Amino acid sequence: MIAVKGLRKTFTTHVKEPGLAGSFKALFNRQTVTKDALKSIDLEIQQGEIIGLIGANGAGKTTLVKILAGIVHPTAGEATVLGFRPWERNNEYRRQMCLIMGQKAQVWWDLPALDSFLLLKEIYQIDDRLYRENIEFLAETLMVKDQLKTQVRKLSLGERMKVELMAALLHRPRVIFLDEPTIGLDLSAQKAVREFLKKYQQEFRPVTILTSHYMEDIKELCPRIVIMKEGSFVYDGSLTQVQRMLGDEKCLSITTRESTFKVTVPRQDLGARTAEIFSQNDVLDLNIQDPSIEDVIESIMKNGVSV
Amino acid sequence: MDLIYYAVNIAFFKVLFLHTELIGGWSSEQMMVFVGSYLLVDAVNMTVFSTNMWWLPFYINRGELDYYLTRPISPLFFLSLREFAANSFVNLLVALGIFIHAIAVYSGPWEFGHLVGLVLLLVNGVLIFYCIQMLMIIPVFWTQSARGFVDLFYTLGIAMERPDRIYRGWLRVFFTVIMPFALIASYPARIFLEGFTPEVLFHLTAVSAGLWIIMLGLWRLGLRNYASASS
Amino acid sequence: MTWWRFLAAAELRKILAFRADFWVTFIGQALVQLLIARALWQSIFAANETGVMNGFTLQTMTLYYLIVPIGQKILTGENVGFLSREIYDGTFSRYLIYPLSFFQYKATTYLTHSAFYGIQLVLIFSVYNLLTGTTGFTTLVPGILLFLVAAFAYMSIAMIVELLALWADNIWSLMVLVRFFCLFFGGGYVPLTFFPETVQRALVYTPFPYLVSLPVRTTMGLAQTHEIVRGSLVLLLWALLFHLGAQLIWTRGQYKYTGVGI
Repeated sequence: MIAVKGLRKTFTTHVKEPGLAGSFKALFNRQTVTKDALKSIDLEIQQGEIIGLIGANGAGKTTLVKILAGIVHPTAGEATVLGFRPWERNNEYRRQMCLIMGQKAQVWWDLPALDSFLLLKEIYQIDDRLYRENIEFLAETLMVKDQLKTQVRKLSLGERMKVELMAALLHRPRVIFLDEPTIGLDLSAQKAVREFLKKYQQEFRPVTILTSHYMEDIKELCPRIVIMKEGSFVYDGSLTQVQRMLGDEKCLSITTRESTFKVTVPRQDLGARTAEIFSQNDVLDLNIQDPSIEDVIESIMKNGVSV
Repeated sequence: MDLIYYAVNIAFFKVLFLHTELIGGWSSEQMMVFVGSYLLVDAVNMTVFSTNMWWLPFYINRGELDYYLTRPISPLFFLSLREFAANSFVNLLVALGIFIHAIAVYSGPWEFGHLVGLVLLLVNGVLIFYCIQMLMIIPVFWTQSARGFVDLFYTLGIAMERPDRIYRGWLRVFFTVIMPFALIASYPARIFLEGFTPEVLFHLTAVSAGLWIIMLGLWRLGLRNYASASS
Repeated sequence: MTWWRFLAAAELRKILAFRADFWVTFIGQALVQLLIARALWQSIFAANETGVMNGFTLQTMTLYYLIVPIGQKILTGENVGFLSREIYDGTFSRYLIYPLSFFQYKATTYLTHSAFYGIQLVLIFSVYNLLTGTTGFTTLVPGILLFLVAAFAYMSIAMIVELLALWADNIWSLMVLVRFFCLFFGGGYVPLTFFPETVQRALVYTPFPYLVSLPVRTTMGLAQTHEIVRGSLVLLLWALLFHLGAQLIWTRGQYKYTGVGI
């Protein structure tokens, strides 16, 4: 369904020193920096799969999603989605794809959601029956029936996200790109969006790529995760397996009179390190655990894979 | 590139002077002093205020003013002067060049004191321009979108590019008192070309002060409305 | 393909959503430009103690400046920044995701604005006619049609410039300059008959007179039939040329688009 091979993207940006003097300099002598947003990416995703794309800000998640959605042209490499090259923007492809960005509204700000939907119905040429069915299903599941006639700009952030989701899924896309769908939402709204996505995935089996900073999203939705660091993949595999990546390590939570802190140590050093900690600190409490998924992922994002 | 803008402004009057000796009581040569004056005011505004003024309605509209209200500095001051359009600075030099050239070739009688008066009054003109601009932006606090007012402002701006003597009757009242575009460059140019007159000076001071007070008052009202509307 | 009708309807609703805003913009701008221009010409006619200048009386001159601002609105359709601002903040991505060409999408919204102002021109022209009873209505139809073709041509010019935002950050001032340029050499500030003979003759080979002067004069009934026919053809040719130019820029520029802001 999605096949990516050797995908690269290099951005060139202009730099300007701060302040007025910098602005002047930039007038005559523009300096550029190139940045590798993606360094040769390979990826295969099958029908019905949902993968979680994780990484720090600037790791290249969004760039990858933008390329696959056809917004950005890659510098080199190949990618096919449903057999199409995304950046050729074939209408046939675009009719089966959607991109949802938590940071950016796509529905028309000044119109009620239903008006936007009607327009989208025409743009995507959705037939009447499917349209009615979908509106019914989506509004029901997302519980936004009563908000559809209100101007979008007057909705709360959570409601707006739900309306975004509706708008993006109206044409029942086979490929879904979700870029930070829960960003900025409160806990209950986050939960609602997650529940919805789960249900949707089970019901319609699209291919989904999800990026998120919230581990809850990933843990709930994605059996498979891809971790990115500085434009490369550092892990691509199952969520449960990731724990084994650092299986040789133990996590110590130590509480002293002054503070509480965590250290991760190799299993064979456990005794020695614990003794060392006891000798150096006035320890009130000590807890030895296997590292949690969050800890592992954080460690991989920071240090890469230590295999 | 902005040279086109200056060229068009000068060409406009040159074309008209092909068919007439005087416009608004001024000869072609006198008109150029006036053109130089308003171009200078415009260039200063472009460099200092324009970027900030462009974004201000968006800030207010999207509720992003909060950030500026929390700072220990006058939000009006900060928002008005936040960004400096360095690329307009070249225009400022060009406008200054046109202004100086117009005065250098001016063959009529003039005094140095009048030139100083002109320059000071042009600074006042910049402030008037800024005030009127703010008056057009402030309604965003209530109307959600001020695009209409802002567009109207740019259109009204044409009024400052014409000699004030062409305005008669209530149009004159409008452009010299209510929306005093004529005081930005035309009145100052008259000081230089025709010497000081107490009426003109008095008119300038009174209207400028009044405008400033009204603008500040409305800004405060707007802020109060903003504070009570955003949650 | 009925999406464009929905889009146009949605756009219209957007235009009318801020009613106060709209009336202030529209009536205000047209009136202000008319009043300032009239004051200027009044003083020029008075200074020369004459009733006719270069084929214009004060009254036809007034009508000219009544039509010009509305015509300018028809031409410039959507606001400056209708592409560049969206490129700058990333909203532009939306058109790349929808299964339709962004040219069609943008042309629809742009020309909706134009058509809307076209209706205003009909209204205001009719009111003027009823009040003064000077010109007939027969010239209105070809006038409006010419204005709409001119709007398409100008939109293509605007797209060329706005798409430069893919390379440079600040397109706004360039766009304003283009507007200035087209308007000045189109006769929007001073009727072209006031220009020096040589300039007038040279301008025939540029698109400008067909963008402004021709539609205005056609609406006023000042243009001859053969002038209208020939002018429309030239205008169409220019429109096509600019449209191709915009397409070309887009084919090149799409590689530059990064979708920043999203």
